[in-house]
Amino acid sequence: MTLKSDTPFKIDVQRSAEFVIARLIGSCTMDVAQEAVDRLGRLAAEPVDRVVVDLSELVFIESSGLGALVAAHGHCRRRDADFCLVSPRASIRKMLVLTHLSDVLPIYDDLESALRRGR
Amino acid sequence: MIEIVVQSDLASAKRPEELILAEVERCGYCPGAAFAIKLALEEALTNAVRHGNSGDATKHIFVRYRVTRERTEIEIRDEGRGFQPDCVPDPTRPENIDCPNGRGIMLMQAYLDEIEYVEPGNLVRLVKWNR
Repeated sequence: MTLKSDTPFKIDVQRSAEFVIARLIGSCTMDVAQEAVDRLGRLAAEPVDRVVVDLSELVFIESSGLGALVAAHGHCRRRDADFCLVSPRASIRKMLVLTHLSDVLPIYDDLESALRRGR
Repeated sequence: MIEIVVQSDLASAKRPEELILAEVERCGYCPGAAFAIKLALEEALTNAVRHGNSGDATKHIFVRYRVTRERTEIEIRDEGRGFQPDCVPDPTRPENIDCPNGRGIMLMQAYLDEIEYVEPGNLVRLVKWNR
Protein backbone atom coordinates (compact mmCIF):
# COMPACT_ATOMS: atom_id res chain seq x y z
CA MET A 1 0.00 0.00 0.00
CA THR A 2 1.46 3.30 -1.06
CA LEU A 3 0.50 6.05 1.34
CA LYS A 4 2.17 9.09 -0.19
CA SER A 5 -0.41 9.36 -2.97
CA ASP A 6 -3.98 8.86 -1.87
CA THR A 7 -6.33 6.52 -3.68
CA PRO A 8 -9.20 8.79 -4.86
CA PHE A 9 -12.13 8.72 -2.47
CA LYS A 10 -15.64 8.01 -3.65
CA ILE A 11 -18.91 6.64 -2.35
CA ASP A 12 -20.93 4.23 -4.48
CA VAL A 13 -24.57 3.78 -3.51
CA GLN A 14 -26.97 0.90 -4.01
CA ARG A 15 -30.62 1.28 -3.02
CA SER A 16 -33.66 -0.92 -2.49
CA ALA A 17 -37.01 -0.26 -0.79
CA GLU A 18 -35.59 -1.53 2.52
CA PHE A 19 -31.96 -0.52 2.55
CA VAL A 20 -29.20 1.73 1.34
CA ILE A 21 -25.69 0.36 0.86
CA ALA A 22 -22.91 2.95 0.78
CA ARG A 23 -19.55 1.63 -0.42
CA LEU A 24 -16.68 3.81 0.72
CA ILE A 25 -13.79 3.43 -1.70
CA GLY A 26 -10.21 4.73 -1.54
CA SER A 27 -8.68 7.08 1.05
CA CYS A 28 -10.92 9.23 3.23
CA THR A 29 -8.37 11.93 4.03
CA MET A 30 -8.69 15.35 5.66
CA ASP A 31 -9.33 17.16 2.38
CA VAL A 32 -12.28 14.92 1.39
CA ALA A 33 -13.71 13.94 4.77
CA GLN A 34 -16.40 16.62 4.58
CA GLU A 35 -17.74 14.86 1.49
CA ALA A 36 -18.15 11.71 3.61
CA VAL A 37 -19.92 13.72 6.32
CA ASP A 38 -22.33 15.29 3.82
CA ARG A 39 -23.03 12.19 1.72
CA LEU A 40 -23.46 9.78 4.61
CA GLY A 41 -25.66 12.31 6.40
CA ARG A 42 -27.98 12.50 3.41
CA LEU A 43 -28.03 8.72 2.93
CA ALA A 44 -28.81 8.17 6.61
CA ALA A 45 -31.84 10.43 6.22
CA GLU A 46 -33.35 8.39 3.40
CA PRO A 47 -36.61 6.59 4.33
CA VAL A 48 -35.25 3.04 4.53
CA ASP A 49 -35.07 0.58 7.42
CA ARG A 50 -31.36 -0.08 7.15
CA VAL A 51 -28.22 1.80 6.16
CA VAL A 52 -25.20 -0.41 5.48
CA VAL A 53 -21.75 1.11 5.05
CA ASP A 54 -19.40 -1.24 3.21
CA LEU A 55 -15.79 -0.49 4.18
CA SER A 56 -14.15 -3.35 2.28
CA GLU A 57 -12.57 -1.02 -0.30
CA LEU A 58 -11.69 1.78 2.10
CA VAL A 59 -7.90 1.89 2.49
CA PHE A 60 -7.54 4.85 4.87
CA ILE A 61 -9.70 6.98 7.14
CA GLU A 62 -8.91 9.74 9.62
CA SER A 63 -10.89 11.01 12.59
CA SER A 64 -13.23 13.29 10.62
CA GLY A 65 -14.18 10.30 8.47
CA LEU A 66 -14.82 8.24 11.60
CA GLY A 67 -16.96 11.17 12.75
CA ALA A 68 -19.01 10.86 9.56
CA LEU A 69 -19.80 7.24 10.52
CA VAL A 70 -20.74 8.30 14.05
CA ALA A 71 -23.00 11.09 12.78
CA ALA A 72 -24.73 8.81 10.26
CA HIS A 73 -25.31 6.25 13.01
CA GLY A 74 -26.90 8.99 15.10
CA HIS A 75 -29.19 10.05 12.23
CA CYS A 76 -30.38 6.46 11.82
CA ARG A 77 -30.91 5.87 15.52
CA ARG A 78 -33.04 9.00 15.85
CA ARG A 79 -35.44 7.75 13.19
CA ASP A 80 -35.32 4.13 14.45
CA ALA A 81 -33.43 2.75 11.46
CA ASP A 82 -30.59 0.23 11.54
CA PHE A 83 -27.02 1.25 10.78
CA CYS A 84 -24.04 -1.04 10.43
CA LEU A 85 -20.55 -1.38 8.98
CA VAL A 86 -19.29 -4.21 6.80
CA SER A 87 -15.84 -5.70 6.20
CA PRO A 88 -13.40 -3.05 7.43
CA ARG A 89 -9.77 -3.82 6.63
CA ALA A 90 -7.57 -4.76 9.59
CA SER A 91 -6.02 -1.29 9.82
CA ILE A 92 -9.42 0.39 9.97
CA ARG A 93 -10.93 -2.21 12.29
CA LYS A 94 -8.03 -1.46 14.66
CA MET A 95 -9.00 2.23 14.65
CA LEU A 96 -12.63 1.34 15.38
CA VAL A 97 -11.51 -0.80 18.32
CA LEU A 98 -9.03 1.76 19.70
CA THR A 99 -11.67 4.50 19.64
CA HIS A 100 -14.26 2.12 21.19
CA LEU A 101 -16.53 2.82 18.22
CA SER A 102 -16.68 -0.95 17.70
CA ASP A 103 -18.70 -1.01 20.94
CA VAL A 104 -21.49 1.11 19.46
CA LEU A 105 -21.31 0.60 15.68
CA PRO A 106 -22.36 -2.93 14.62
CA ILE A 107 -19.71 -4.51 12.37
CA TYR A 108 -20.35 -7.47 10.07
CA ASP A 109 -17.82 -9.58 8.24
CA ASP A 110 -19.80 -9.67 5.00
CA LEU A 111 -22.64 -7.91 3.25
CA GLU A 112 -24.97 -10.90 3.32
CA SER A 113 -24.83 -11.07 7.11
CA ALA A 114 -25.51 -7.35 7.38
CA LEU A 115 -28.54 -7.54 5.12
CA ARG A 116 -29.89 -10.65 6.91
CA ARG A 117 -29.62 -8.98 10.27
CA GLY A 118 -32.90 -8.77 12.24
CA ARG A 119 -34.08 -5.52 13.75
CA MET B 1 15.45 19.39 9.91
CA ILE B 2 13.67 20.32 6.69
CA GLU B 3 11.20 23.19 6.99
CA ILE B 4 8.13 23.96 4.89
CA VAL B 5 5.49 26.64 5.33
CA VAL B 6 2.05 26.27 3.77
CA GLN B 7 -1.15 28.23 3.65
CA SER B 8 -3.64 27.18 6.29
CA ASP B 9 -6.16 25.17 4.31
CA LEU B 10 -6.68 21.42 4.04
CA ALA B 11 -5.64 21.21 0.37
CA SER B 12 -2.35 23.06 0.96
CA ALA B 13 -1.70 20.99 4.09
CA LYS B 14 -1.45 17.90 1.89
CA ARG B 15 1.89 19.13 0.51
CA PRO B 16 4.02 18.56 3.65
CA GLU B 17 2.22 15.27 4.18
CA GLU B 18 3.14 14.10 0.68
CA LEU B 19 6.78 15.18 1.10
CA ILE B 20 7.16 13.39 4.43
CA LEU B 21 5.42 10.22 3.26
CA ALA B 22 7.63 10.12 0.17
CA GLU B 23 10.68 10.12 2.46
CA VAL B 24 9.07 7.47 4.67
CA GLU B 25 8.53 5.28 1.63
CA ARG B 26 12.07 5.94 0.34
CA CYS B 27 13.46 4.86 3.71
CA GLY B 28 11.56 1.57 3.56
CA TYR B 29 9.32 1.95 6.60
CA CYS B 30 7.18 -0.99 7.64
CA PRO B 31 3.49 -0.61 6.66
CA GLY B 32 2.32 -0.14 10.24
CA ALA B 33 4.74 2.70 10.95
CA ALA B 34 3.96 4.37 7.62
CA PHE B 35 0.22 4.16 8.33
CA ALA B 36 0.78 5.69 11.78
CA ILE B 37 2.78 8.60 10.36
CA LYS B 38 0.16 9.32 7.70
CA LEU B 39 -2.63 9.22 10.29
CA ALA B 40 -0.75 11.48 12.69
CA LEU B 41 -0.01 13.99 9.92
CA GLU B 42 -3.66 14.07 8.89
CA GLU B 43 -4.78 14.64 12.47
CA ALA B 44 -2.16 17.21 13.43
CA LEU B 45 -2.53 19.20 10.20
CA THR B 46 -6.32 19.16 10.43
CA ASN B 47 -6.11 20.42 14.00
CA ALA B 48 -3.73 23.19 12.93
CA VAL B 49 -6.06 24.34 10.13
CA ARG B 50 -9.40 24.01 11.90
CA HIS B 51 -8.63 24.69 15.54
CA GLY B 52 -5.23 26.36 15.76
CA ASN B 53 -5.77 28.78 12.91
CA SER B 54 -9.57 28.71 13.25
CA GLY B 55 -10.08 28.07 9.53
CA ASP B 56 -8.38 31.34 8.60
CA ALA B 57 -6.71 30.62 5.25
CA THR B 58 -4.62 33.81 5.46
CA LYS B 59 -2.67 32.19 8.28
CA HIS B 60 0.09 29.61 7.87
CA ILE B 61 1.23 26.24 9.12
CA PHE B 62 4.92 25.66 9.82
CA VAL B 63 6.20 22.10 9.43
CA ARG B 64 9.70 20.82 10.30
CA TYR B 65 10.66 17.20 9.79
CA ARG B 66 13.50 14.71 9.76
CA VAL B 67 13.06 11.22 8.34
CA THR B 68 15.79 8.62 8.86
CA ARG B 69 15.67 4.86 8.42
CA GLU B 70 15.23 4.56 12.17
CA ARG B 71 12.62 7.18 13.02
CA THR B 72 10.58 10.15 11.88
CA GLU B 73 10.36 13.42 13.82
CA ILE B 74 7.82 16.07 12.87
CA GLU B 75 6.97 19.47 14.36
CA ILE B 76 3.77 21.25 13.33
CA ARG B 77 3.09 24.79 14.49
CA ASP B 78 0.10 27.03 13.82
CA GLU B 79 -0.53 30.72 14.46
CA GLY B 80 -3.16 30.16 17.10
CA ARG B 81 -3.09 30.86 20.82
CA GLY B 82 -2.63 27.20 21.73
CA PHE B 83 -4.69 24.99 24.02
CA GLN B 84 -4.44 22.63 26.95
CA PRO B 85 -4.44 19.07 25.57
CA ASP B 86 -5.24 17.68 29.03
CA CYS B 87 -8.59 19.49 28.86
CA VAL B 88 -9.73 17.63 25.73
CA PRO B 89 -12.49 15.16 26.73
CA ASP B 90 -11.74 11.44 26.47
CA PRO B 91 -13.63 10.38 23.29
CA THR B 92 -13.83 6.76 24.43
CA ARG B 93 -15.98 7.54 27.48
CA PRO B 94 -19.65 6.59 27.14
CA GLU B 95 -20.83 10.21 27.44
CA ASN B 96 -18.59 11.21 24.49
CA ILE B 97 -18.77 8.18 22.24
CA ASP B 98 -21.62 9.60 20.11
CA CYS B 99 -19.78 12.85 19.42
CA PRO B 100 -18.54 12.98 15.81
CA ASN B 101 -15.45 15.00 16.77
CA GLY B 102 -12.60 14.83 19.25
CA ARG B 103 -10.73 11.62 18.33
CA GLY B 104 -7.68 13.11 16.62
CA ILE B 105 -5.40 13.55 19.64
CA MET B 106 -6.39 10.17 21.05
CA LEU B 107 -5.50 8.49 17.74
CA MET B 108 -2.12 10.24 17.56
CA GLN B 109 -1.36 9.13 21.12
CA ALA B 110 -2.33 5.56 20.25
CA TYR B 111 -0.28 5.30 17.04
CA LEU B 112 2.85 7.35 17.78
CA ASP B 113 5.81 6.61 20.03
CA GLU B 114 5.97 10.19 21.27
CA ILE B 115 3.65 13.18 21.09
CA GLU B 116 4.32 16.42 22.94
CA TYR B 117 2.47 19.73 22.90
CA VAL B 118 4.80 22.64 23.58
CA GLU B 119 3.43 25.61 25.53
CA PRO B 120 1.20 27.42 24.78
CA GLY B 121 -0.02 24.42 22.77
CA ASN B 122 0.30 25.66 19.19
CA LEU B 123 3.30 23.40 18.46
CA VAL B 124 3.12 19.63 18.47
CA ARG B 125 6.11 17.31 18.24
CA LEU B 126 5.53 13.83 16.83
CA VAL B 127 7.91 10.86 16.81
CA LYS B 128 7.46 7.46 15.20
CA TRP B 129 10.10 4.74 15.14
CA ASN B 130 10.37 2.41 12.16
CA ARG B 131 9.61 -0.89 13.88
